[in-house]
Amino acid sequence: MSAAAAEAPVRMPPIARLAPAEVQQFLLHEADLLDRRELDAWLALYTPDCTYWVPAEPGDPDPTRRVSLFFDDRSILVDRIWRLGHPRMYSQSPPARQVRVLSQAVLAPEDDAPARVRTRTKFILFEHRLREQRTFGGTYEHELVPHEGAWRIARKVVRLAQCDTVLWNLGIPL
Amino acid sequence: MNTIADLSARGLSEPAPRSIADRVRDDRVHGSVYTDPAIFELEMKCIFERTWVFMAHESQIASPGDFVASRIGRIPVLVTRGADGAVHVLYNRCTHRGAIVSRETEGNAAKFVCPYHGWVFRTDGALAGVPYSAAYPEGFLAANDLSLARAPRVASYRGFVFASAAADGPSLLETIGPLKDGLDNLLDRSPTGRVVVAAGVHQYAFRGNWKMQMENGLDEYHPPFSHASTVRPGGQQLQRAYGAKTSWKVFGELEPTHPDAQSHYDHGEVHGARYGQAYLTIPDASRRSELELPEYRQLLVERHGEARAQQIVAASTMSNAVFYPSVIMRVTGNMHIRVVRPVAVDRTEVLVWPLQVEGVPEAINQGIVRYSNVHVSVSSFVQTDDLEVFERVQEGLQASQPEWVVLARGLGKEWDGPYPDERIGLATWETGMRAQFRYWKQMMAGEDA
Repeated sequence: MSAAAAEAPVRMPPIARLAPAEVQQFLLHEADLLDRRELDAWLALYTPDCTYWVPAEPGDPDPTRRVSLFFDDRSILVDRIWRLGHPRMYSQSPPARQVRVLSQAVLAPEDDAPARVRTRTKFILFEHRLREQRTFGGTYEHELVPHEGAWRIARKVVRLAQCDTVLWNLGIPL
Repeated sequence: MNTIADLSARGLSEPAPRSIADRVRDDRVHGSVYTDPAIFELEMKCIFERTWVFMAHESQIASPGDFVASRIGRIPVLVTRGADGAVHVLYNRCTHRGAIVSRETEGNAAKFVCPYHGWVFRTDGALAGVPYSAAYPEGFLAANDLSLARAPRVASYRGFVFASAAADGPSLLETIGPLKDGLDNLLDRSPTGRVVVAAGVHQYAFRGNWKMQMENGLDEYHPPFSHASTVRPGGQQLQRAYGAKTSWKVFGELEPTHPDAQSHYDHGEVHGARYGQAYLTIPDASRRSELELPEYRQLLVERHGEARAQQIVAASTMSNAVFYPSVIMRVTGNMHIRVVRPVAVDRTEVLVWPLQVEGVPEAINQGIVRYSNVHVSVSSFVQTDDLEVFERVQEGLQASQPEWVVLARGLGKEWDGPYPDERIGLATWETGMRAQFRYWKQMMAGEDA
């Protein structure tokens, strides 16, 4: 086993076929890292050329031509996480506490590229900050790929139910 | 500076004067202008319903029947392109029992049908049908004007549509004063002379007064502090344009509180003129990287000729053009239209439409969209902390002492500009806010709280 695989947060068998239970465990682990705000470990689940996208409208907008709530490559995610650790990020002072609840993941039927697993998971995200509670809901779409001996997230799309309305800050990736 | 001397006698603990206009002084405003619901109501009437308010960009209503929802203060309106091609600003209120006739934010319609009793209106607002009309008294429907009410004045400047709920007053061009130059330069930098609104909209809300956002659009004093979490050790800002690894340096060698420290933002200026119109300048072209694209430069030269193209680029120093009372338009770089919608004295909604430039390399428009995600989205590196600070101001102003808010930066040091009442200062000075409040005071004169 390579050194990279040994350091991977959740080791998953680097094999073409991934059992549904292992996928579910992986997605729950990702959600848990966000809830616990372990954001460096969270980012370590992503590939170097990853995309993290939260469209600002329903349907299938082109994120290069239409605005998004998030449309991050890895460099943006790195800056985002650096900022979330900054003592003077006022909009996260005090920090939001979040709880993500996930449905069973639905795996897309395996196509001729079995080394890429596509999943859809419904989620509810409860957030408390200061005196306020907010609830977000929607669907996570993940694309998992083997990378340096572990499964990683190449692409995550968050289809947020309330994506196209006036919102208060979303400080932490959904 | 007699005003300052006189005020200092009573200091910042002077109670609110009865006259609302007297709550604005040269170097301070009374905190109640941000917190008093009665003052908010008067602002809607005396400012938003008297002056010119930005409605929409014509590209959003390109074809007959196209419409977008907008507001004049809190008045919901529909901005439509009628069958005749003319632009109308219609009050979104059925003339029967008052329901809004459309809930869509944008769309295309042959007519508007009220959902309550089915009254029908054309896209120019004319009443086109009343179900079972025989029950009305003889001649009643003909004798009353039951068409949708309309803004008495609508004007477009090169595609930017404004309306006024007042029948009389200064013209649009007189009102926007120096900001016309910003629109001209923006459009001159388009190889076709046009920009379009077609990239969607960022939307956010905060629990604070609308003026905070309008003032913030002219505030170059706050960035290194409110946005401290976007500044790396060494004073370099986080990337804003994607892939741009060299970014803005916001701190120098001296601590900002050192008596000799100078803000890096003060290489730009802030201008404040009549009718509350104000803008920021950023002479540094490094913030407008699109101008460095050779193929884009070539397009400008083809349209305008070498000399004029040079002039246009050199003149593109206006960054935020702040159209009082409701629009912050970024006319260079991260170009967008940001509309500020007052909801209540302590509640404001803001919508940001990135602008797309016609006829330029795709990368420029994609860059504008991506920059807007990082800069003004609800997840952005910049806007999020502004919203937090606005809410902290709204909360802090509940403290009754001191009574006044200080707006004295640069007072007495400014110089004159070419436009009526135009004063110019360094970018961190509160010259723009003072211009906004001079107009506010003029419009609120004669009102008591």
